[in-house]
Amino acid sequence: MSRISKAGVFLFVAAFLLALPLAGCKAAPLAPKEGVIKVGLLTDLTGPTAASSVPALQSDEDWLKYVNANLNGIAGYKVELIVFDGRYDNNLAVSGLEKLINQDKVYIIFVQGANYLPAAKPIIDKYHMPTVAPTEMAVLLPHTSSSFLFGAIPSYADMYRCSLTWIKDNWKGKEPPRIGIMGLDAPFSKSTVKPLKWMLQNELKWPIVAEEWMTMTATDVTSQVTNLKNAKCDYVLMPLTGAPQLVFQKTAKAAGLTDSTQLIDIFITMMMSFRKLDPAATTGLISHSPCALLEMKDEVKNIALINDIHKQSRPDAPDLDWIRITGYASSMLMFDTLGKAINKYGYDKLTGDNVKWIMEHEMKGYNANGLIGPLPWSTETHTGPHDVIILKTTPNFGLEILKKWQKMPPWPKEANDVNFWKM
Amino acid sequence: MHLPSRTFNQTYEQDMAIFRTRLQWLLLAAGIVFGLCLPLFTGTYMLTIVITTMSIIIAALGIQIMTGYCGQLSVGHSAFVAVGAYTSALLVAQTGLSFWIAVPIAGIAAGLIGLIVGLTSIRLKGFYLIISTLAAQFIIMYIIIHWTSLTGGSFGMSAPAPKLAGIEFVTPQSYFYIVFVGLLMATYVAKNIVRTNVGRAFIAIRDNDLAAEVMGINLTAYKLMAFFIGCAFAGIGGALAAHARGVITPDNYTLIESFWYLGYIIIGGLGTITGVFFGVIFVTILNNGLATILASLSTIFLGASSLLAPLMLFIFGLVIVLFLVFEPRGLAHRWEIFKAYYRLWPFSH
Repeated sequence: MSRISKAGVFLFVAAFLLALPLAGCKAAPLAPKEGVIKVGLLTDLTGPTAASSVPALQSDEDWLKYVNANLNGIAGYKVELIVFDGRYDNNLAVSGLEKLINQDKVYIIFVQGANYLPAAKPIIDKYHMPTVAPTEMAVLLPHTSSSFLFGAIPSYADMYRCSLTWIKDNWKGKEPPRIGIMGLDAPFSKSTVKPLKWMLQNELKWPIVAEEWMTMTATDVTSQVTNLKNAKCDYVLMPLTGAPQLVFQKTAKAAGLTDSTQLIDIFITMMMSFRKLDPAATTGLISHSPCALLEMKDEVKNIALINDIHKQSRPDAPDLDWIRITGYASSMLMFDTLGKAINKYGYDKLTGDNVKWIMEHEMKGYNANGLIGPLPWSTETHTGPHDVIILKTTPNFGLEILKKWQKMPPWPKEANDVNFWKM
Repeated sequence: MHLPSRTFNQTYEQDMAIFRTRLQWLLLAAGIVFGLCLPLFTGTYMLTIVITTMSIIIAALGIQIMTGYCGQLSVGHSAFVAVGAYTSALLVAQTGLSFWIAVPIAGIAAGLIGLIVGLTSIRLKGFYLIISTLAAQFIIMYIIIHWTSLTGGSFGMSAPAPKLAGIEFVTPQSYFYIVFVGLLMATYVAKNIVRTNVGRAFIAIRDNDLAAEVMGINLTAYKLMAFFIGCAFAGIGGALAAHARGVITPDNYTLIESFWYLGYIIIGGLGTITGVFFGVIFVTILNNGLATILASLSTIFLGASSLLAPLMLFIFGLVIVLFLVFEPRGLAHRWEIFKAYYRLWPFSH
């Protein structure tokens, strides 16, 4: 081959390689298809939390199909769900948010992993992207009205505030109940225990007779359980998760702590998982659910509706559980928000600021037709609902609902300062 | 370096030149111009990925010097990146120091921490050094997570955007230029370090530290130097990435990330500067590309996400493994083979 041809080949290849990024890099923002509303979902389809994320996503998809097929979409516009798998990786999740916002041009985002929130908050505020997220950790909540983050479920501290209020309303003893705390050396637990202790000491004035802590890698909590037992607690608040929680429950059961003390779990997730692993250790546990349950289908029509949709769409899937119900609820919340925004502003004038206005002014009291507690959103607060369902596990994998939609009293004005929640 | 026919080195400077021929200078200029023009025709999402990739390359240059050139295995590189990120963020956010001063200080701080960790390398090597750097990873991240009053703990802290003469570099389009210039400077420094007597000493230590010592190379000094330089690069890369994102959390600097830094230089090619570029870009494209494909599929076929997400992860791992099976010397080696093939075509290389 002659030098000229060789150089020609070289130049051709170089030009081709340069042209590739030129052609592909500027991913021209996908022009909105006529009549399509895009909703973004940042979730973990792979990774440690996939077991709960995938069923919730399936519910989102089922509801989307139902809305497009039976309700003519949102205000006449078809809905499209764009899912980004964050893989429990913050760096990838940040890229995913940028993609959903800048490339896919979604109108609202649901972030399904609370671990993403610290990294996600500045991005969603920078681009004015209304975002709904599970905000179990109150310290992650926005404390300025300029934030575009909205809480979808009660914070852990709110959940315990509900259950302590329930205890107060139902306590029959002459002396105040003796409270023990079993905490975990993890941010979510520490940030929950701090406001709880404030509540117990300053509002309820109940004695905290024992406070024990364990680490995420603990395999033996005998001394902690012994101390709790010796303190003769009436209730033990246990903001735990994962393997440490199971270790504690098994040890508590074996040591007889549960014979005289009522354990109160933080959130329904672990309780439902551990029931399968160790039914004996999980029986008799009280916990909180942010959403209505299948057991309430006779009184909550929406449960019956989504149960039918679930059975038709996924006949081989397990029964409707709380994870799937929250998936339906989150979709309904986002779709109804967008519907109101379109009705008020029109499809062509849908912006992040407009959607945020709707969330702050027209979504207060919204409860997804009974699936979740009423939202308290306003210009002053973006927190999740303040109502939870208090339930208890019974033998043979049963569930007893102790209180439907237990309300909590508002936190004092000190709680408006973010330092109230910081560890 | 191969020279085209009728091109000869007649001076020492010509012999040592990295860019020797006009074509090489032309390609360099074209590359820089292309880089400078990139924000003009690239979307925000792609630009964010490019900025992150460039920051990672800067940090990976550090571990290439440390591990690829000097043979000091480290599985704590992500922690040094974190040191740089938090140092810079703290200096800018809490003391009001200028970003332009904070970033070099962050590099020095990370380098000094690396120096302390490097003290263990004087007597340790191989797997024992790995354990030592693993300990550094856990210790540094433990301090960051639990010193909540300083770092914000698990909830992170903000890293403000840089300012210069009243201009705030808050958009990816503007911040890109800062990272691009940083990358050019880091590459220039790294390339020249490995060509000096310091770089040769590193290579000698890597190949046979006993022989190097017999030749008169001060092992202690050069090993510590490798740690300092490598960790300084990590600190600067971390600082640039932190201010690009605007917030930093400990979740960005896990042990897995440290393994990935090793992975970048293995995939790209150990002991080469170009290998760092190849490795980081290859993994970044693969990672983000698969996630983007999955997101696109979810709009076409409802239900694709939950079905195909594990498959994407599987493909990601499989590509890495196959690559290492068929090209264990890295992409840089494959690139050299390609260049040789092209140069000698139609003759066999």
